[in-house]
Amino acid sequence: MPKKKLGMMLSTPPADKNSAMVISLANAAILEGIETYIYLIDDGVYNIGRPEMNALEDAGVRLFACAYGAQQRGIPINSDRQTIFAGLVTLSDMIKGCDRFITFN
Amino acid sequence: MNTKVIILIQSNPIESHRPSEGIRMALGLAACNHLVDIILLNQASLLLSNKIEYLVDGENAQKYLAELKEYLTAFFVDKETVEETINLSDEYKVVSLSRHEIAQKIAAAACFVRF
Repeated sequence: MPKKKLGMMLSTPPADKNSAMVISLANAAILEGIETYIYLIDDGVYNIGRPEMNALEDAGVRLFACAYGAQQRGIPINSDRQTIFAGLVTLSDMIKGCDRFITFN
Repeated sequence: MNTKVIILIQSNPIESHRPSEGIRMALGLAACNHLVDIILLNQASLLLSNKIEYLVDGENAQKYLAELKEYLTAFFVDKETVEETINLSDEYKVVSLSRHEIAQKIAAAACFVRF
């Protein structure tokens, strides 16, 4: 049976409580064997490189970030982490392809 | 299958870039064949006014809106606020909704994004 897929979009910076919620849900989803995808957009790109996000990547979460948003904020998009810098087509595919897609704004 | 996406914009575009970002996202998703509805609450309806120069990132928002209107049947605005306070540009087709109608639209969508 194919694994369930959970997608989450985060558009707020690390100081917002949304970040902790996304990290917590992603950790729980991974433990349940759910394929988990996160798309960071707008001020959500400030979460790139946080130890908690790096740990999620190491645990198998597929982490995407809006390349436009990162460039607008001076965040380098040639990171050596697994974060994939992408556009809205990727977000579109995530919405279409996940069993559940939730947004944190 | 094309997913129905509601993008509800409630931030004030005079103070925040988030309304413009919401419009950018709406354009991207509409261009990817999602069925997108935009609902503008409170001062967010200023995006459809002639006062774009007073808005944060207003120039970009105007560019996105010019393309986005080709994908939408109409922009939806909150009947309770827009009729009293904001003169909308006649460039856009606009439909006023009651709060009850807005709630029904959100409930019927597969994906809901708030800016």
